[in-house]
Amino acid sequence: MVHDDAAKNIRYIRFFVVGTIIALFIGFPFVCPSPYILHILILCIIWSIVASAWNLILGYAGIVSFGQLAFFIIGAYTVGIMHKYFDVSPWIGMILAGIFPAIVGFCLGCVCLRLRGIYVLLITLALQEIVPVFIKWQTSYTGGAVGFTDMPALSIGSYSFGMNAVPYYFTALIIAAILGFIIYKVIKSSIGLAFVALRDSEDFAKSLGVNEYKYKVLVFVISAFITGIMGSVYGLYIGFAAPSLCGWEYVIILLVAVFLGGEGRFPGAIIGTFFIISANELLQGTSELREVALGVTIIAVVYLLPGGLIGVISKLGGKITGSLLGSRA
Amino acid sequence: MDFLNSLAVTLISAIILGTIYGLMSLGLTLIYGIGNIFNFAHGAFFIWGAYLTWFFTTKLHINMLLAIILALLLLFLFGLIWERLALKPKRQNFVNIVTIGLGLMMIMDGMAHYCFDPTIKALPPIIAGNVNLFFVTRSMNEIVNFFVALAILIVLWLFFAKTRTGMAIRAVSEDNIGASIIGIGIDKIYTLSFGIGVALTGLSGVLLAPQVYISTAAGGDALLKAIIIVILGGLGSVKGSMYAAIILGIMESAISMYVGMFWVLPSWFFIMLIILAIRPRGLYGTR
Amino acid sequence: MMSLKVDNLNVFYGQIQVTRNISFDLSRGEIVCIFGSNGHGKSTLLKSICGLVKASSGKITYEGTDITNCKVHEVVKQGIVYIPEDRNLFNGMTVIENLKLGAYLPKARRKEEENLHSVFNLFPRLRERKQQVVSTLSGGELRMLAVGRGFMTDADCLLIDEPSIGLSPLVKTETYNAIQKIKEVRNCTILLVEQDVKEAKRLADRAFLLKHGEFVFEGPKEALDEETVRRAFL
Repeated sequence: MVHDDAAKNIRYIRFFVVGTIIALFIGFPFVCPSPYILHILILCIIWSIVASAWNLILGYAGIVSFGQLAFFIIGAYTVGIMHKYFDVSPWIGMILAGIFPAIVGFCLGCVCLRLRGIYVLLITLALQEIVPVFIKWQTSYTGGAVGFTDMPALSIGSYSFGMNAVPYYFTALIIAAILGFIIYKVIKSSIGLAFVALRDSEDFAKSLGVNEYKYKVLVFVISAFITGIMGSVYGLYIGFAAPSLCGWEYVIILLVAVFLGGEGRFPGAIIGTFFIISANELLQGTSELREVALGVTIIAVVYLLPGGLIGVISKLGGKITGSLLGSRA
Repeated sequence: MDFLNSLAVTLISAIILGTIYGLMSLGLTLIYGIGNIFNFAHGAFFIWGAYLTWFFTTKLHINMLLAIILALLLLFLFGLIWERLALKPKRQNFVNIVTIGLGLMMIMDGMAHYCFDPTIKALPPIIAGNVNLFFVTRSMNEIVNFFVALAILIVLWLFFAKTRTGMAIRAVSEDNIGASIIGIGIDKIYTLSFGIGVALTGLSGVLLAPQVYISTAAGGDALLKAIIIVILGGLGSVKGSMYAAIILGIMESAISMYVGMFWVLPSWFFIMLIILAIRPRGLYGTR
Repeated sequence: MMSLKVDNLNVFYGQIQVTRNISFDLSRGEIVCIFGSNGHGKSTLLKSICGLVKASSGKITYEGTDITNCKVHEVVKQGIVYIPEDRNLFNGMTVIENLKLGAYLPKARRKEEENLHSVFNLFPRLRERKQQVVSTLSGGELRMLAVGRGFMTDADCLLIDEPSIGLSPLVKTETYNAIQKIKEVRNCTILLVEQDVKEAKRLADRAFLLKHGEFVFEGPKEALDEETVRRAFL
């Protein structure tokens, strides 16, 4: 009986905290003092889902894939190109921005099916390096190295978002919430369980009938789809897309977020992103040393936080906080 | 006659390019083959070899040969220290090692931007002037590069086949437990291999510099090309990387001559995918 | 004259205890056999002596020097060589290269020629296959090469893990004869781990039976009768 009460209490606290967070997010833009902070928040929202998608494939499924930004950039360019050359509404464009990377992800998954970890790393890296090269050279549609600047402004009916960040904020928030919820559901479902089983003891999982090929391809497709959509949101919000989106600094930011959050811990990647994006923005300006700082940061993260932020919080705050933040597979 | 001429040019370029690419990927292959470490910072060592040499010759006015040796020595020592301090503690976890490599790359790129101003550098050629070879005019520098690369490869072959340390390194890459139980200190071997690997990579940067023009973008390019060569040849196989380098060198020469530079990288990528579909471990892969 | 001394050795794999308070000692020139069925700690015992596996507690001394939890290559320097069940040979290299590598340490290098000669006398078949790549050898030849390579380290103490496993009776006898000869040639101490009691018994001066990580029998080989063995293995 005591246990029941304790469990109920934890659940109430959980609802309360989550509810408060949601309220804060909804209310924030109206009380936010500076547009710059709002801008950073939007970036955090977008990148946190991208990081969570990477966490899905790297942390949960244990596949050493370093190609997520290829999906991101394809998504960004898709929504722009679809609108400019094929008159596709950006809202539909966003869905296409998920589908095209998903197809690429499917192919990539198939290619990587029988390959050992290091080969998957190399091929996904190669992909992430080649896509921007391709974009740079294919100038007729993409605008080349300069970037694609004809992103449409979003609009609902007759209301155009224009240059106002607030509607973009809510768009990003809602889409992020939906995609984040999808990730959460996948993790909690039998799919997520299959990912972890294949990661931790592949032979055992296979002997239980888990079809590793199906799940390997599935995780590529899901993470590509989600990353592609967020790429399109990013492109629409920022107003342009450029080959530099596959740059190493983004890779590091995402990877730091994944590590800070702890590989395989769901809300962790989100929290981790907020940390690193804020830190990165603060460092804007000192260009060369920023690269050095990023490099040092990620090495420090590898050494200091092997279990990620959530691991640290769990140790410090004990059971309640740990279970509040929950979802470790 | 014109066609024969261009064919000759293509072939000679291909062989020269292939040999140097072989040298470039050798560092990556060795470091992975022996220590199971993917050196993300491969491209960074590539450009630092060139930058250091440029610095010693142009700013400190040191003789070219000495500058190269000094640069390689510095990279070798740095590699030894880095492996011992930063890589050794995390050797068991592959993702950690890859991530640390990524961090090193950012640090080295950042330092390169900071120390050397971003205008693209050109290394003075080792020997100036051109030479005529079978109806084909090639710069003397390329010829020298070719022979240097060849010489290095021969030296390396001798090192691994005949010397005790070289054989010990091979032993560790074959079976590290087997190596330890006959008295080989495998930690020392891992550290040494990393040092040798990055020095080799730096050397290939020096050799390719005059043709490629050094900038951090060149580093990313070197990394990508080395990756494709190594995948195609099969990880852990030196023989495989060399063959792959020659094949890809021929492809690059032919394609850039007859089709256009743009198609080189995509064609490399597709060849790699095709070969991987047939042989998932590359041409001669052992791991 | 005590050569190898093991005191209260406890080894854990994670939470599982594999050896319990093992204590024994070997004199120079002895051949001692440790018998036991699979999974009872035989290999672990040898591996912890040579340093491949960490001991949680206990002490291992060789010729007076404490070698507990030393690094593997350090233990080899002290004069102990471990010859694994898996052999751990260098498969891409030739027979002669494997043997020469066995003489990696300086003290072994000095006697390389002499030891190579001895190995080829012990295992004539290896001389025939000198230049052959290891991956082409048969099971018995691999076993011989593993022992031969261990011999090349000029060690005074050999830890041999299941030398006869997977071998035909003829090759088994050959292998045991070779081990006997090694002991005669060099008067080294040999710690042998085996499942096949009958054959190995004749080699041993003393025998131990290992069950669930503990010794359930120790004594001269004569005392090792069928009944004791059956009870230990069951």
